[in-house]
Amino acid sequence: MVSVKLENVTKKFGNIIAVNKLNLDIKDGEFVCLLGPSGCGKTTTLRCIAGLDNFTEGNIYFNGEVINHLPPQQRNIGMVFQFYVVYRMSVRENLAFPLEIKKLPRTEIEYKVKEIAEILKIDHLLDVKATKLGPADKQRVALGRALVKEPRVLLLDEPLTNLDAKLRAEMRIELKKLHEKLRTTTIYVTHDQIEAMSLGDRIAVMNLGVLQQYDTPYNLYYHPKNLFVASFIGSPSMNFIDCSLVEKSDGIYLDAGSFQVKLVEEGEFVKHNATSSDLILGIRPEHITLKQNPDDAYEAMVDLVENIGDKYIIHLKSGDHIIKVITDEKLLNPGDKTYFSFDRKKMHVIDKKTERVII
Amino acid sequence: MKYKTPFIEKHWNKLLVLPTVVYLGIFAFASFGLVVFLSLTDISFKGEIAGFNFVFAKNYIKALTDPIFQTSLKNTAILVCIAVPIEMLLGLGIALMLNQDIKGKRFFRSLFLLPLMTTPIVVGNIWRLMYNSEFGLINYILTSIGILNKPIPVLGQPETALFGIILIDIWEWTPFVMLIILSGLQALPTAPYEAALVDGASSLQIFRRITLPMLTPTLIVALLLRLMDAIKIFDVVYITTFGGPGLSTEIIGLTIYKEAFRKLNLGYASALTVIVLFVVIIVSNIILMIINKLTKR
Repeated sequence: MVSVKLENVTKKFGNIIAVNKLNLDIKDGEFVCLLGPSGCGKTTTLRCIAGLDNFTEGNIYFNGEVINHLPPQQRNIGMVFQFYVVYRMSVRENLAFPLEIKKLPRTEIEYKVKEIAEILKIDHLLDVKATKLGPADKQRVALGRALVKEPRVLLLDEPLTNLDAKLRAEMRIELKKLHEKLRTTTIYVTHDQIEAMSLGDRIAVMNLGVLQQYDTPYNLYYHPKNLFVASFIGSPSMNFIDCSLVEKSDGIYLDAGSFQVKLVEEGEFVKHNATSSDLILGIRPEHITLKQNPDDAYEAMVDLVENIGDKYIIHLKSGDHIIKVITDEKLLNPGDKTYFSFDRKKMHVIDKKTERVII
Repeated sequence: MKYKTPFIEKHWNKLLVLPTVVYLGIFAFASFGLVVFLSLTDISFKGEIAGFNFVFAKNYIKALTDPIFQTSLKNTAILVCIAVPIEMLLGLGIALMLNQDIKGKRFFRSLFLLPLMTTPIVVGNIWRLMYNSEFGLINYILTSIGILNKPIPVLGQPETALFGIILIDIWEWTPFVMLIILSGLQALPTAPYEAALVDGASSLQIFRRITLPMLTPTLIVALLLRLMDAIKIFDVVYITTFGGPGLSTEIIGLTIYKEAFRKLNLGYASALTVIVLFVVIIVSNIILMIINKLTKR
C-alpha cells in the first residue's frame, strides 16, 4: 500500500481541459472519494492514476516515486469499473487471473483465491461461470480480482452505479467494512454524495476539471469553501438568497428585501472580506425552524409542501425568494402564513462575484 | 387497430412471415425436392426430355466410382484445407492490425476491401494475366529479382495449377474474413481489455485470454461462411483453367456444371449436387462440434 500524490495533473482532450492543475494528497490507507457532477473530470483523473489515459502535464507519485511513465501493468493497482467487468471464465479463474500473470505458484494462487472469495462471500460461486452471475455478484468478482493481488492502490470507478438502490446500500456497507479490514489506499469515483459522504475519509469535490474543495465529509457539509460545494453537498440543497450588505446606525445587516438579518460579531469580518455589497445568504433547509409567532423570526407564506417519506419539504415564499425548509410533521398547508428563523452559526455568507464563502 | 379483420388479427404474425415462407418454399425447398427427385432418374437433355426412367440409387453408385468426381472431391478438399485456414489467419492478423490506432487506417481498410468489391470474373481475368508466363507481372518480378530462372506457366502445368487457384482464392476472400473479424473486434467492449491491462496482463496474454474467447463466435461465423463458400468455388476456376490442365484443377462445382450443361446428364448432376450438400452439412457440423468442445474446456 502506498500514498498517492497528484501534482498539477492536467489532462486535455484537444482543446478541452478535462482536468486542470489537480493537486491531491492521499495518505497511505486512506479512502478518498472523487465527487462531482458528470463531466467534472473525476473518472479521467482515475484513469490517469491507473495509467489507462496519459495526462498532458504534471506528475503522479506513489510513495514519492514518479510513476508517469509506467504502463498500467507495472503500476500494481486494482481497478473496478462502472460496468462490472468479468472475464468469460469461472469465478475461480477470474480471481486467479492476475495471480497467474504474476506467475505465482499454484498452491499460493489457490490459497489467495479462496481467502478473497471468503472475504467477499463468493466462495460458494467459485465454479460458476462469472458471466452468468447477477450484477452484485459480478461486481464482487470484479472487486475480488482487483483485491486478490494485494494492489498498492485500489481504484473504484462508480462501482455501485449500475446496481439497484437496495443492493447499492448493501454493497456500500460491505465496501466500508472491507476497507476497514484491509486498509488498502482507495480512490473512489462517484457522483452520489451519499456514497461519498459515508465512505470517504476525505472527499475531493470537482467541477469542470477543477478541484473545488478537498476535505472531510464534516467540513464539506459545515464549512464549504465556495458556492459550488455549498450547493452540491446536501439534499435538498442549500437555500441561496440574494442580498446586499447595508450599514445602519445600530449595526451591519444583510438585506434580502423581504427580511433583514443582523450580523453581530461577524459583521465587520464580512464587510472587510466582501468584494462588493452583493452577497448571497446560504442556509440549509434542515437548519431552518418554523415558528408560530413573529418573535425573532421572519414572516413567509407557504407555497408548496412536498412529502419525501418520513419528512416534508416546505417551500416558503418570502418576497421573491423561495426558501425550502425540512420538517418532521405536516403542520402547514399552501397559502398559510408562518414565521421562520435559523441558527446564525449555521448560516453562510457568500460573495456573489467570487462565489467564495466568507463565513 | 381497426382496419384488421378478426381473421387478420388472429393470424397476423403468420401473415408477416408468409412472404419469406413462400420465397423459401419455391426457391429452396421445392427446388431442392426437384433436385432430389431428378437425382433418382436418368433424365437427360440429349434426346427427348419427356422420356426418363427411375434408376433409384444408380446415379449415387456411379458417383462413388466416378474417377472424375473423386478427383474433383480431392482437389476441392485440398483447396479448402489450404485456402480457408490461411484466409482465417491472414484475415485475423490484418483485422487486428487495422483495429489499432495506426495512421492511414481508413485508407488501408478500403485498400484491403478492393478484392472483395471486384467481380469474380474480373478477378479470374486479372490473375490469368498476372500469372501469364510471357508478360505476366508475377513471373516478371520473380525472374528479374532472380528467384526464378525462367518463367513458369502457373496455371498451365498440372503441378502448380491448383496452387495458383488457391492463391487467387486467398487474395479474393481474405478481405471478407478480415471484414467480419474487424467488425467483431470493434463490437467488443473495451472495459475487459482495460481491466486486463490493470490486472497486469501483456498484449499477448490479453489476446489469448480475453480477446480470443470474446471473438470466438465471430470467428466461427467467418470460418463456416468461408468453408461453405470455398466448397462451392466455381467462377474463378471457370474463367482461369476450366478444370485443366488435365483434371488438375477440376473442382466439384465445375464437375457438376460439366455433367449438367456440357454432357447434359441432368439426373447424374443432380445426384452429385445432393452428395455435395450432405458433405457440406456434415463437415460444418463436425467443425462446430470440435469448436464447441474446445471452447467449453
